[in-house]
Amino acid sequence: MSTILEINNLSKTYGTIIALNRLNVKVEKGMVFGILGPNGSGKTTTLGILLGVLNPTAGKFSWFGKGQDDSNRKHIGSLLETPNFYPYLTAVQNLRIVAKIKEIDRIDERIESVLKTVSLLERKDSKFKTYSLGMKQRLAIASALLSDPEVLVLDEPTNGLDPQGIAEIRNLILEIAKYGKTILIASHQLDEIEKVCTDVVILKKGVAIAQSDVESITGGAKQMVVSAENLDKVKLLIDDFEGADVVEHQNGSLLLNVKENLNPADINKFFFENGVVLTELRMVKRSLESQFLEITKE
Amino acid sequence: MKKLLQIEYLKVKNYRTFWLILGIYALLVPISFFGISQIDFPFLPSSNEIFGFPTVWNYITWTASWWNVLLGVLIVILVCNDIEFKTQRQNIIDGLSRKQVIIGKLYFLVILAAVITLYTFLVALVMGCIYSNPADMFQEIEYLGIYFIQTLGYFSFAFFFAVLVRKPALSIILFVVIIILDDIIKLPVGNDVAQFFPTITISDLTPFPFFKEVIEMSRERDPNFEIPYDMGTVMRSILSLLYIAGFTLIGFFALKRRDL
Repeated sequence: MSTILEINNLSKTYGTIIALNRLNVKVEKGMVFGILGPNGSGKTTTLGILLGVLNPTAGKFSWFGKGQDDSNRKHIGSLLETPNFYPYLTAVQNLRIVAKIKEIDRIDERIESVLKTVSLLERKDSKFKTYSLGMKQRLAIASALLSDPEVLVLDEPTNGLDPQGIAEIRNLILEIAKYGKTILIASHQLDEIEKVCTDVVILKKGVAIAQSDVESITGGAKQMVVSAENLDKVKLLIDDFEGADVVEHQNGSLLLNVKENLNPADINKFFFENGVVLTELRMVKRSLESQFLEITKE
Repeated sequence: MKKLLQIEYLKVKNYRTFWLILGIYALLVPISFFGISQIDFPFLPSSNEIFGFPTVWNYITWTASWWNVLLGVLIVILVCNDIEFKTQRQNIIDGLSRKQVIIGKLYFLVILAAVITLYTFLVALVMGCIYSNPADMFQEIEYLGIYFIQTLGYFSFAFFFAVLVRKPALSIILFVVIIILDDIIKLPVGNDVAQFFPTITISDLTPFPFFKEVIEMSRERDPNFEIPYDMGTVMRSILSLLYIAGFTLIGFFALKRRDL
């Protein structure tokens, strides 16, 4: 595997505010890498530095093992915050400027193709200022795809899209990832990261507080919900039971953390043998959301 | 260089405001030039003097320079647009270096200044050939070089100004106010000093054509009349070029260091 992006001790301060504190990240080819964090956690700051619009206070990064060279960005398709285009130009005219900057061959053909991908072909000759928010966002994605780049950098890519648009963009990202492209996504939407990413770093106040593959964060702990007539007895029994702990007591049922090797049958059998009949027993997939909330708790 | 200019051209190619302002300039220059020949000046320069070689070069550049400010406003708009729309930021994200973004804009300004000068030259050339002997056309043609410097001066000031202020409406208003204030500030400060102010130096490059006559008339009336100090065209051109370099460099470094 080759390294697409390496970030070393990257920091950015605005006066006394530390927006990003010694971030270290390594993105390998083919990863769909998520940067997850609440608003103001340093996601956009990180991407801004990586894309040359913010000057880092300290630290280094390297794209494609070639350092911080400006021309690296020609091989990166990016969507950073809001879509930025000339309002008085049409989609095609705007994309021509991007194509010129990225030195793309067969410009018209590529423009047709990406506009088709984001379903904007019918409006290709409309001025950007006449577009709806969703269309603007789709044009920005078309622009990011224009050079058929090795790497896509997307900051909140489904912002402002309706549910159908969100689903389309997600499928598009998964589709692109299939071709072995590397994708970097910043988002505060957990399900977005969960659904498309292979790896994730969680940022909080500029500090990376967790970094791993999505599977090990979400799949790390199995959870089950159980309820019974006599919950107090269930609680007592669980204290003696090896491999399960109560996480919380909610509405007459208990949420349990359960060891990987146990399945519902084991749990059911254990309680039955101890004289308790469960009225409810179900598996819960521990979502990134609960993990995220737990990790980012004060 | 070619690529950067092409990018800048794509930005204005379908921008109506750009062509509209250029069109207004293209119309105003010959119209106002014609207009001054209709004014009843006390010295009564004949049409032959105004429209004929070699004096036509002074008259045309002096007339056209009023409208040069209009083009300065156009540059303020163009530079502010790229900041306001965040497209300059996008250009960098898409793969240009900061330096390329700024240099591209500056190339464009130089080319535009050259086109403007060329157009002004052509208007005067046509008039000169009609009203005088075309053989004299190369006399005093240095006014065109000076006009080019002046246009570049307004453009670089507009660029510098737009980069610092960033907001289009505010930039335009302040830009115009400063140019108007120049004429007012001359009164209390006195031309001896005021002529060294950047925008005044640049605006004085195309002098009032009857300046000599006014001085002579004053001396006739009052023999003790002191001839005001004037730095002279060569000195003024050099100083203007220094100001242009200053504006450009400050704008350049401000943009280069800034977080976008």
